[in-house]
Amino acid sequence: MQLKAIEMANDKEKYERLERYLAGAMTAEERSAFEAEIAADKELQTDLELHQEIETTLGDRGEAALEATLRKMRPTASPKVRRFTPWIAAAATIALLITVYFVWTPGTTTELSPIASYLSEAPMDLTVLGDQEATLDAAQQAYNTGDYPAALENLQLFLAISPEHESARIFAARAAIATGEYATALEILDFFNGRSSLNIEEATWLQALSLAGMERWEEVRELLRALQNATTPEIREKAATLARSIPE
Amino acid sequence: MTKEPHPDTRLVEALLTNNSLVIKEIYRDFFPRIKAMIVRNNGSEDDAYDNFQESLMVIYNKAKTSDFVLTSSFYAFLYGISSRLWLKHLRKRYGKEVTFNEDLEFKDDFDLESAIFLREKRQLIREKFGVLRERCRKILHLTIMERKSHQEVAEIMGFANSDVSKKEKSKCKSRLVALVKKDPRFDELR
Repeated sequence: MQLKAIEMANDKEKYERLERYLAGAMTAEERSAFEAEIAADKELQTDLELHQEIETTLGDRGEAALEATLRKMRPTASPKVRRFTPWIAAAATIALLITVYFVWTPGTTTELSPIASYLSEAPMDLTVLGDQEATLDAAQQAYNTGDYPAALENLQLFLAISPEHESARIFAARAAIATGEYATALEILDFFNGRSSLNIEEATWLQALSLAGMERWEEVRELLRALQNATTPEIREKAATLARSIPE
Repeated sequence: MTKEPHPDTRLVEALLTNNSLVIKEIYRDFFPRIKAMIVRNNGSEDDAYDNFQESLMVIYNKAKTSDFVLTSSFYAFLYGISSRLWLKHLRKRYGKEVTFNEDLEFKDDFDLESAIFLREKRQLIREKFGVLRERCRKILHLTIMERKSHQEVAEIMGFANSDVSKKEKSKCKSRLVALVKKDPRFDELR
């Protein structure tokens, strides 16, 4: 038991030193002593490499964005509007009616992207209990007062912990589009590709808007074609409007 | 002697910048040949798509390393990775003894195996990040993905000060390191 405690304390100290080394927080003397230690200890070398690799991997947003682009280019994995069974269509309609029931009058505090006018004006009204409550509340407050960068930041934080929360994902994508962060919106929406979801039409529509923001017109056309028969009237109409405004 | 970059470097840059127009060009020009190689060797069109996408991701990861210079044609590099990935896949599917009807000779100074390992290691890290506890994922998300300062993280997470945030990050990272090292696949990637 005591041995285990000593091992844990040693590990803790080792990892703290690795962090300080990587952060450049060691004195020259400490640094050269630590480098000598690393050179002599294969396990420590592995740990150091792994620590560096974790920073690179988790900090690289481009990798996920490229994966999403590649998936879209694959014919079988391109986002499609599913044919809804009647009960799913009914549930979607009810969800839409509940959403449009609220009147939204945001006090916009940020400059909106040109494509933002196509976004739904539905307010964010989500509830979650537990640890994540404060983050979602902060996101909601920001979103409903038009502070989209803050909303996006909090929603991304929320999604990092609750990636399956589809409604939060939809609002995060809307916030990203509103601030002109189209690539971020695409990353957020990639989650819906190939999934069976009630939000698939909305997700496809937001993907089309993000791509429109990036002027990737060919891909926009493809997604809008898929939305021609969308079951949600608002999406169908807005998609038709956007299709008419695509430059030749 | 400095290595001269090949004109196809623009294709690698397209992967790094996620330029979908050029990536479509890559698909158009190279996918049919990669698909033919896969189909010749017991694969389907679906396998070919998986392999092609994965090969491009390997190239992306390799190209992100600081010393990377493309000195051969893009196709030669892609083919080298793609054929090795497919051979690996066949070995997994059918066991160790697999006859592969392709020339795996690739006369270049790229270490293709290490490029593939790098991609696999990164996938393993992402996978293990997903199984960390909520609190740790949040801390690593804030510090690494969102690049927040330790002071900001302390405020968001309700820590007493930035020193606590630093220590917590170190703890979470060490848990992630331990999870990765514990996985049997890690030994194959070293």
